Amino acid sequence: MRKMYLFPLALCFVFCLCARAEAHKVYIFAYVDGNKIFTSSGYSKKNRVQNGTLEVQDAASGKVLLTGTTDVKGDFNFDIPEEARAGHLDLNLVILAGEGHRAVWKLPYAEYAADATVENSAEPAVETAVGDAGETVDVSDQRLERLVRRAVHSEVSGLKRMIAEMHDEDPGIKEVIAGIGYLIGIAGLLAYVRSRRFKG
Amino acid sequence: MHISEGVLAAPVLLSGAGLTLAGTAMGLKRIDYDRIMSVAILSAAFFVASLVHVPVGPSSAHLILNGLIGLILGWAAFPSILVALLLQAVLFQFGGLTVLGVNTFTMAAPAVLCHYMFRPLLRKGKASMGAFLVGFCSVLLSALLAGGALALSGDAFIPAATGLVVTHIPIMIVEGFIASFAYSFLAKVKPEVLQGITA
Repeated sequence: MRKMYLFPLALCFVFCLCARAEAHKVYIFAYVDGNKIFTSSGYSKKNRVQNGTLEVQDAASGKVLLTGTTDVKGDFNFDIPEEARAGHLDLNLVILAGEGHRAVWKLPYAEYAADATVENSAEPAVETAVGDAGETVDVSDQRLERLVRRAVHSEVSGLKRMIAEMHDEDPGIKEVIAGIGYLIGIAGLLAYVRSRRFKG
Repeated sequence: MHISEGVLAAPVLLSGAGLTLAGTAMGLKRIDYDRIMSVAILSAAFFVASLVHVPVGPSSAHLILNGLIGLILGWAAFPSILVALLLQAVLFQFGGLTVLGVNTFTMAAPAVLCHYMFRPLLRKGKASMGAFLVGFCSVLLSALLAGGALALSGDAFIPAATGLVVTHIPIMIVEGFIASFAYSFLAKVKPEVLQGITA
């Protein structure tokens, strides 16, 4: 009778060892940088979507504005379509990884609108700033904003990549234990209901 | 082999849900409530198996274990796999809630079919061979069914099914051996689990 516990125990042991393995779910992460949208798609951190089809769709009508193919790293980058800017369209970036794998990243207009407004805004109001060496430098509002934006972009790009990787987290031991807990709970509940019925 | 949300056409989703509902009803009717713990343990095995990956060329495919479940449970494979897939969808975001019906049918129907197809072989005493075939053919038929579901939603059947079958060939072999070992192990240590098959 004691031996009957061996099988489930052996199974649990094997699966606990493997619980950190990769998962088969597709992720997509996207961010805007300047006039470009950068996308990265993968099944996990190591396993990227290679040669997957990426569709850029208008979220409202579902119309495909642009199609591309991901490279070996699962990346696909493109210029923001003029049509999207002109129509103030919210975008859906859809990765089709084949064999029924699909994921969507929503990119609202507000996220990529900022760069467009910078380009067209503000009359070049000239201000005078005093540099470290005491010399004076003329900087227009527009130029200053563009410089700050460029500096921030270069600083933040690493962070964006980090967020992209965090987004690709595989299910961990917590989810596995939660699932097994649910299953045992359901079985226990059924057994309990059953035993009550027998008594009744 | 989890089909994601938004890939399949509505009629395919609806018929998948209908077939799964019928299968689950049948499973619940046939289930032996004294074996409810076996069903839960096999559900748990299925639930975690999707995290065990077998490398296939540049990509990898995960274990499914539907053959093993079908082998031991028969019709009860439907509720067992349904619950496991529901938990995978909620906790791992594998598949999805709207595709739950299609995914369950894709996995459970071949399991039940193989259970009945190879049961005569198991009863004749060719246990390891029969169990291997259940494990192997369940995955093969699941790949074909998933290919069919994709084809009905607009993909071409041949490339979709070929891709799925080819990436799952190593899984079929591994699952064949798992089913075969599990069967002979259970026959030795806990033969009452296999009562429905051998008697």
